[in-house]
Order: sequence, then structure tokens, then C-alpha cells
Amino acid sequence: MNDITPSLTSSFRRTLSRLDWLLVLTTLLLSLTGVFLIYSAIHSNPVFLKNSLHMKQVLWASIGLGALVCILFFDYHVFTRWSYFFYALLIVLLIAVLVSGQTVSGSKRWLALGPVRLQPSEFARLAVILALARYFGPREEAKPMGFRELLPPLALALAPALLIMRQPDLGTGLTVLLIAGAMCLAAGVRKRVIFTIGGAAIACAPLGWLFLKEYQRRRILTLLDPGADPLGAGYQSIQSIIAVGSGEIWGKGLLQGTQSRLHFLPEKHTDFIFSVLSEELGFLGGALVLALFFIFILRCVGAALSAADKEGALLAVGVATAFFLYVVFNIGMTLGLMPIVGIPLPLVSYGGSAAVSSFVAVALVLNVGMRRRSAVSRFV
Amino acid sequence: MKEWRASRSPETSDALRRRVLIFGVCFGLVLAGLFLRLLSLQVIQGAKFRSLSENNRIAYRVVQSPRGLVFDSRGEVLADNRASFNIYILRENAKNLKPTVRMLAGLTGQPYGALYEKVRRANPFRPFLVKADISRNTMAFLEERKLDYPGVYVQATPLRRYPSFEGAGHLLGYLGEIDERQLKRLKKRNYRQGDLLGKYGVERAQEKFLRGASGFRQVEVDAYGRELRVVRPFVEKPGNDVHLTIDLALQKKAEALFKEHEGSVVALDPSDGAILAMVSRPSFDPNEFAAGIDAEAWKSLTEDPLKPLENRATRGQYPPGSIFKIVMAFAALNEKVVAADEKIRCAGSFRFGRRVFQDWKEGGHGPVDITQSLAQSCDVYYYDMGRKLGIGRIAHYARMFGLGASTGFGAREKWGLVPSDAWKRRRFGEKWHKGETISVAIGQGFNLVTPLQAANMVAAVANRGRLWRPYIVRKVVSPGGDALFESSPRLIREIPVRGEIFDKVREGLREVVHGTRGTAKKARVPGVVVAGKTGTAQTVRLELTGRKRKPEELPRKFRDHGWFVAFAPYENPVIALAILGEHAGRPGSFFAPYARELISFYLEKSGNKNVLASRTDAAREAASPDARTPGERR
Repeated sequence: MNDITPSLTSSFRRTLSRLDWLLVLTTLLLSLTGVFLIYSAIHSNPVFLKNSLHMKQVLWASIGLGALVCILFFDYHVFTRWSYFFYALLIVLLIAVLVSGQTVSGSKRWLALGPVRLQPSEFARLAVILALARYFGPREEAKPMGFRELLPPLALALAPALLIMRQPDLGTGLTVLLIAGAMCLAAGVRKRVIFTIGGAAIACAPLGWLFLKEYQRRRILTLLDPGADPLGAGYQSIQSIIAVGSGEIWGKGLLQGTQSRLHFLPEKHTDFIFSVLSEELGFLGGALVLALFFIFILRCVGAALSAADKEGALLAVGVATAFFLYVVFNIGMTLGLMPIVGIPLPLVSYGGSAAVSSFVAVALVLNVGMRRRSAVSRFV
Repeated sequence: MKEWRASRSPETSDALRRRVLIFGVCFGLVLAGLFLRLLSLQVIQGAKFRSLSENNRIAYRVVQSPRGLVFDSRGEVLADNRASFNIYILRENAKNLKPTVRMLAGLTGQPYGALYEKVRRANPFRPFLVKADISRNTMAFLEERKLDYPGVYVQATPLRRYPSFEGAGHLLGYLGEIDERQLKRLKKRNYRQGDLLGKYGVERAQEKFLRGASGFRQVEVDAYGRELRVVRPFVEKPGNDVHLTIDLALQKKAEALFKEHEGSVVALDPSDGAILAMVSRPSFDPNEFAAGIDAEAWKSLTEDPLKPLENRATRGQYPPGSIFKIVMAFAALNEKVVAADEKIRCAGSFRFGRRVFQDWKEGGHGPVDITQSLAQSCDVYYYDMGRKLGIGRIAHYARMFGLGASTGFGAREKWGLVPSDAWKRRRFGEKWHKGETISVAIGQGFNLVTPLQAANMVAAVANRGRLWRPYIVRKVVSPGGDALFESSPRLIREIPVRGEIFDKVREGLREVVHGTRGTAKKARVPGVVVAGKTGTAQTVRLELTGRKRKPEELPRKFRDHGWFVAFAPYENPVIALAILGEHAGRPGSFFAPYARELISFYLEKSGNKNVLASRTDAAREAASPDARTPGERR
């Protein structure tokens, strides 16, 4: 490490020594598990196998890792300073997707850039987290925010969320809104406002029902009673639960899962990868991955607690919330606790855009942690 | 360190840290909830789910509903489906793959190595088709040994059958396996790899009506891949039935008559352009394609120099020879370059500039008027008309009768060729020579006509001036009996020529058959007045072959084409015909007896009178659902 570049000054070396290696390790472990599971999920599909999706995932993870290393060299304030630019770029990309995106099974999510297919919605959470951290960062904490102060950040989150829901990708759009909500709460909102908005949301829930598409409604109803339509809407949910449950403690062994092998599971290398894991590696594997995510998310929260300033804290809270929501939505879906929404398991599921954006998110948290306040001891 | 101090963001306050801590606790609790759920599913209820996953295996089997039927105008079946049995292997369930494949290879007569390679490379979870349409013996053999060879199973599939056809493949067309380009295009319409679809003829043109719905049947299977019970059946929805204008009996008769020849026969209903029969020879048997044609048979079809796959009726282009004189007669009379009773002396040759054009009859026909010029097919008369009319007017009248243009019958038909000055400049960059007009006047030179165009032209003469668009699909009926499509005859144009001229030309065509000096006296049918025109189209100049040589001595490509066009009965025509003998080496008059056979057969069968009425009755009968038993469909 001594003579890589002259720019590695002694102050940077001190900063680097504060790198959260545990977070780095969990990230790499999750990513590696993902590659194995992707291989297991696709090995019975000759087309996917020929395209060797698992090796592509290795490539994407490597690109993400490269991005991660690059980001560590710069102070995170550099990124928050540019956050509105990133945000504008994202909005442009999301509009481009709606205009000329590629349609896959009914929704437009991808943008063809030469040989690469970009999924801009996977970068939406990053852009919104950065933009909101930048927005709330300079605010003094004297008093919590009221309605009027909440309007601009809400608009900031609503624009990309609505564009994503237009694709249609309800799950991803919703997580963007939830992340924004969590960041507002973390930045401090008046209690009265919290209760009013919470009450209004509950009151409006039946109204939202009207805006859902037929298949989306069916998915939610199915959650309440999966047996109602076992071969229709409840099919995926039931098959996933059977897959997970049949893994028992030790699992059926890697590549041995009958549920996935017999094509009972849809989208098994993306949205249902946790079912493959639980079926083949059992409770042992499932619990281990869950534990890795537990550590991962709490380390992000820890970075927020020890952050040097409000901007950094909010950045880390945003990333922690994002990972938390993705994990809960995805694993909850495979365990039959959540409706079927197309949300991948971060770092594990197949997907280039998701992998790169996850690594970048981790890099931002590491960055906040590296440049923390020296006096405060770390939590967790 | 300096950098963050430079930012305007305040240090994290205790209040902020407190809120973040609450977040962390919430996150941890929810994740713990997931952990408990995982514990419950896998450890507490694990055994239950394990047995569910082992016993309750659901598989999907593709189901293809039978294709719609094709009927002729009297309700005779032209295409239906029969039960056939296919062997599949599901590799995943096959226990000892090599001995299994060896057994299958021996049973189906395929080389073991190639079959093994194919099976090995196929998707192990999808049934792989080993052989389609196996014999009953083979099926019995497999049924007996079912337990010895897990993963091998036999499935019934409807297979296309053309029950009463020896040939006529061009008309009905054939099925073939979907190719990659079509698959890409048709994926949305539920087509899958390995599906059969219409590749030619009616099967192709009516594909969207004929194809039955396809889908999946969900079945519960045991560990050997055998079906235990149907979880969710697929309700078959057969394709729609197509009713053609074809008269099967006439078609068969024409096929049989023309068996020895190459060429084409087209019969039309002159009252609306409905195609009654369409023969193209040599032909092929569409049944051969039904279960997938084998490579050798396909090769012999595609490499045959006589091109049996080409539909000569719509895609064969031939010089019209003397049948073009019909167009010439109209042009001459309507342009008033000759009077109807004006006689022109034919001395056996015609001098134009320095060239001398011979009549087909040595010594000539003597003085002939328009009627006799047609009856005797006098060349000199029409050389003279050609000179007087000029190529422009000739081309104009040829196009008026639908030559040199699409008849509108099908997208893949050829247009023939009506030469003109403009055409020659475009094609060769040369101006038209007047001498060329003389050849064109008797249907030689650059003139090209398809048999369908010839039939349509003579149909327009038969019905006194209505050029219809020929059509072959009368209607399409859904399995439930609803008419999805009903064709209405479409007029291309009313030919702008006075009725007296039609009378005059028709009279000439009648004399071709009934006149004492007519060229086609052999076309006479007792009790019916027939009109017609012979044509003998040379393929090379006489100088090259020598006038006296017999056709058998010439290479095939130098032999003459023989044409005969006809309609009957004279006053109220119900059938118009074009017969073409490709390189037959025979004059058109040789084919006159064929026309006689077909006309008398058709008129007899349809009872001569009220032909149209009886045919529509038959069609109506065929359309009613109770006219068919359900079993017929398979």
C-alpha cells in the first residue's frame, strides 16, 4: 500500500485504516453466495446456461467492486455536492426508459446501451438518497420540520417514484417513496405531522386499492389467503413456500433442489433466489444469509450513528433503509409474508444494474464510516 | 478531514442519533421476524413441506387443438386430421439413457449416435420428440415395455391428412415446422418451437383461421414422469373450417386427365371468378409433409428440374401463342382498324419491311373475316392487325383483360408480361421496333401469361365483359358454426367494349369448336355449345429447330407449349377453362379433348342447368354443424 500513488497521503492512509472491514466482508460474502445460487438456479435452463449468467454476475460484481474502491478515494461530500446532477441524470434516464425502453414480460424497465442493458430504476434509490442527504444536510436541527418544509423533499422523491411506477414497477417505485419517508423521519419531523400523515395514509389505503391493476390486487388478496387460488395467483407463493420449507435444516444440497429444477419456481435466479437458497442449503444457509444481512444493515446504521455530520448520517440511514426494505420485501415475499412484487434480493439476485448500484451504496456507507467523527465510539 | 469541515452540514446532533438508533432497533426486530418465519417453515414444518415437494409434482404438457378442416364447395373434405402417436423422451426421468436411446433408435430406424447426441443436447425437462406418427405395432411394443424405460412416453396428437387427393398439393399447400424467423414474429400468437404451420397454399394463406388454440395442461406426475391425474385440463379449441370454391370431383378429374403432362389446368366460374379447379403438374403429395417430411424426399422435390413445388397455375409464365388473338380481335374491332365483315387475304406469309412472317399453315387460309381468323387461327390476319394497331394499343387491350398484372388472387402470383415501348426502354434501354409488334400480335415475342390470367381473360369474354378477381375461399366457419368470413366476388373492371364486339368475338370462339374449319373440333360436347381458342406457343424461333422436326427429337426446353382456353355453355357459361401443356411439343388442339372431358363432366355433374343454385345448396349443407360427426375432426 505504500507507493501505489503519490496521492495516498498520510491523512488518507489514516482515513483508510478506519475502513469497516466487516461490512466489506459481508458484502463480498453475499455477492459470492449470489453467484453460486444463480448458477444453481439456471443450470437446468440451457439458454441461460449458454449465456452463463453466473459469470456475467461475477463480471458485474467486479465492476461494482471497482466502483467501490474508486469511491473510497473521494470524500462523500464530493458526491452529495453533485447529487442534484445525478438526480437530473436519473430523471432523464427514467423518461428515456418510458419512451424507448425494452419491454420484458409487460413492463418497460431496460434501456439498451450498446451491448449492455441498463435498468435505471435500480439507481433511483441511490440518486434519491444522495439528493435528500444534500437537501437535509445543511439544515440546523433547532426545530423539527413541519408540512411546508416536507413538501420539496417529497416532490424530489415522488418524481422518480411515479416514473418507475409507470413502467410499471410498483415495488421499486414504492421503495423509493419509503426510503424518502424514512430519511425525512430521520431528519426530524414534528410529531403532529407524523401522526396526521400516518392517519391520512391509513384512511386513504382503500382509495389506493382503486388505482392498483387487477393482477396487483390479486397478489395482495393472495397474501391473505394463498389457498384461495392455488393454481393461479397463489401458485408462485405456494410453490415458493414449499421450496423453502422442503429445504428443512440441512437443505437438499446445491443443484439438488427439485422445486426449482422442475420449474415450479418462476424467476428463480432473480426474485426467487432466496427460495433456491433455502431449498438447497436449508435453514442453515437461509439463516446464514439472513444473519449476513442483519450484520450488514446494522453496520450501516452504525456508520450513521458515528457519522461526522448530518449529511453523512442521513446518507448512511438512507442506504440502510434501502437494503432493509429490499431484504424484507424480497425474503418476505419468498416466505409468503409479502405480496409478490418484483424486487430482487440485493447483492444476491442476478442483475447487473442492481449489483453495481448496491456496491456503490455500500461504498458510500464505507465512505461515511471512514470519515467519521474520531471522538465517538462505534455502536453495535 | 479538512473537506468535511468545509461542508455546511452541522455535526450530528444527539437527537438525530437517537432517531437513527430507533431505526436500527426496528430493522433488527423485523429481520428477527423473518428469521422466526424461516425457522417455522424449515425446521418446525419442514417435514411437511418436504413430502409435499416430493409427492406433489406438477408438470405442464403442451396441448395443440386440431386444425380447422378444409372443404370443397360441395362439402367434401379436402383436409382433416387423424389421430397419430408420437414418441417423446423426457431425459430427466430416463434412468439408463444409453440403452433407452439405443432401443428407440432401433425401433424408429434412426442412427443411434445422431439420436443420442440430439437427446443429450435437448432440454432435460422438456419432452423431446423422438418420432412423429409411429405405427400401431411400435406403439404396442412401447406400451408393453413402459416400465422398463422410464421417461419414454407416447402421446396422441392430431395429424393433418388430405384424404382424397392425389396431388393438388399446390392448392392446399402443406405444413412445415415453424422456422426461427416466423417464431420470432409469431411468439405473441402462442407459437412455440416445433409447431407446425401452413407453409404453402391455402394452409399458409388461411393459417390464422385454421390453427387451433394451443396451451398447457397441468398434470400431476410421479417420479417417472407418468401422468397421475390432470390438475387443470386444457379445453381444446379447434381451428376454423375453411370452405373453398373448389369442386373436388372436377379437380380430381382434371388431375387424372393431366397426370401424364406437365402444365396446368385452371377452371373458373365466369359469373364471379370462383376457382373450380386448379391443377399444377408435376405435383406432390401434401400428406408427405404432415408428419414432417424427411430430408431425402424434400431434397428430391427441391432439386427436381421440373420444379414440382412451383404452382404453375399462378407462377408459371408462358407466351400465350394464339390465345392472344382473342385480345387482338377485341382491339382490332374496338379500334375500328378492321370491320367485322372485312375479309383479309391470307397467302401463308406476311411481309413487313425486309422480314417475312410465316403463317402456321403453308399456303395460307385464303380470304378470312374476323370470325374465320379466330376459328382457323389465321396468323396473317393478326400480323396485319398488329401492324395497324401498333404496340401501344395492343398493350392497352391486353391490360384491359387483366394480362400483365396481378389478378388479385394471391400475394405470390406472377404478373406475366405485356410488352410495350416504355417497358422495353426500361428493361433494355432500347426503343421498340415495329417488327416486334408483329410477333406480339400472335402471342409470341416478349408476351408472357400465367394460366390463371388466361382463364380469367376467357372468363371475362364468357360473361361479356366482367373481369372478376379470382378467389378460392368461399367462407370461413368457426367450430361453433358462426361465419367468420364470407367472400364477396370483386369486380376488377367492366371491360369498356361494346356488346356487339363481344358477340362477334364470342362467335369466332364458337366457330373454333363448331365451325367446319375450326381448330378445336375435338372439344365438341354433345348437346352443348362450347367456345374456345387454341394456342401453340413456340419457345424458340423456327429457324433454330427447323420446321419439320418432330417434338420428340427436340430437347424438352425447345418444345412448344400447347394452350387451350374455353367456356361453356355458349349462351350461359358456367365454366371457363385454361389448359396449358408445358413444353408438351403438341399444338393447342391436342388439349381440346381434355376440355371436352372436363366441360361435359362438370355440366353433367351439376345437371347442366341451375349449376350455381345447386352448388350454393351443397355449400350450405356442408356448413350446418349436424352434417358432420365430431369424430371426423380428429
